[in-house]
Amino acid sequence: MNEWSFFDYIDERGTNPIRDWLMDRRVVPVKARARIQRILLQLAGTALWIRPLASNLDDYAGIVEIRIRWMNTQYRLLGFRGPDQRQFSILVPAIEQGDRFVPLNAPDTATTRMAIVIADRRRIVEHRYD
Amino acid sequence: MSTATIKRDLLNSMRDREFRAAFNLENVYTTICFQLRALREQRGMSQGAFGRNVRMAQERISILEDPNAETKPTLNTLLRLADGLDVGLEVRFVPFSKVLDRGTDTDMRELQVDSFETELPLIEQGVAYLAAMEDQLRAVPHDDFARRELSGGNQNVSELQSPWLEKATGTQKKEPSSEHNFFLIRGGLADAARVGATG
Repeated sequence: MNEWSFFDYIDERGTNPIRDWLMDRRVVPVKARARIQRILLQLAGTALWIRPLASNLDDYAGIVEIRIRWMNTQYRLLGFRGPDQRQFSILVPAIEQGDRFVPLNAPDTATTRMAIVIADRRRIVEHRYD
Repeated sequence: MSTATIKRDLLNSMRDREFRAAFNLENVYTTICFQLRALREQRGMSQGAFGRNVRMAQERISILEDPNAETKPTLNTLLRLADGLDVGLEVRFVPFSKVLDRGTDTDMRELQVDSFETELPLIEQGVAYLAAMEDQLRAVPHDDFARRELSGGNQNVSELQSPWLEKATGTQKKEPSSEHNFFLIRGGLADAARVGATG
């Protein structure tokens, strides 16, 4: 039985920006997607996540970043543990370049989206592993 | 999400050879990284203590446990770790159905492995149990229904194995499921020992 279930944020138009990002081969090459999906599957079976793979984001309460590197690209999945127990909602995908997120406002967006999801659980869907 | 849905998703992507190869690679190294952590935590060790146990620096253990690390362990390194942990190492080619199974069955507890010394009583029980089963098989007349069942079926074996299981393990056997019977007949020594011990 999995320790965690992953969910993706759904925007106000009903589209899934996490899935769109992950399936865009220009942004996330196939090999990087394989690594991201495999690591998410492993984290789903792991009760306690530890650094450097996952860590709380300083100055953004409740936001957790999952850190996945492929080649020279630092992929970041920002999300939070919730809205229910044993759930993790991925809110914003980003890339880290020189200690900065791209997009730069990714942590702020994650904080905003976390509040939206907590208020309305229809704003997440189960993460897909394809 | 159900395991079937996850597998269906992965299978969909695995039709693409590039993804399939990449997932296979990630499956190997991610499993190794997390299994090292699972083995270390099973033994209640810090990375430093674990490193001393396997004669490696703490920094090296940290890298070996990191699925993002550029440096991947070689077969020699894995053998050295297995030696330090006193566990076996199995490296073999498998069908992609196995990769799919491994990729979706990611419970950390499943990655724990006992050392040889810890496992020894269970191995001995398994050997005794298999010997008893073989004796029992030899005692069954040719073309007997039970012989056919033991060589490929999974029904009506419980009556045959019941006294032997108790004799081999010294425990009262619970009623085994047909799945367990199948497991016993088709499984290996360790599988037999496990079922023999838990009944």
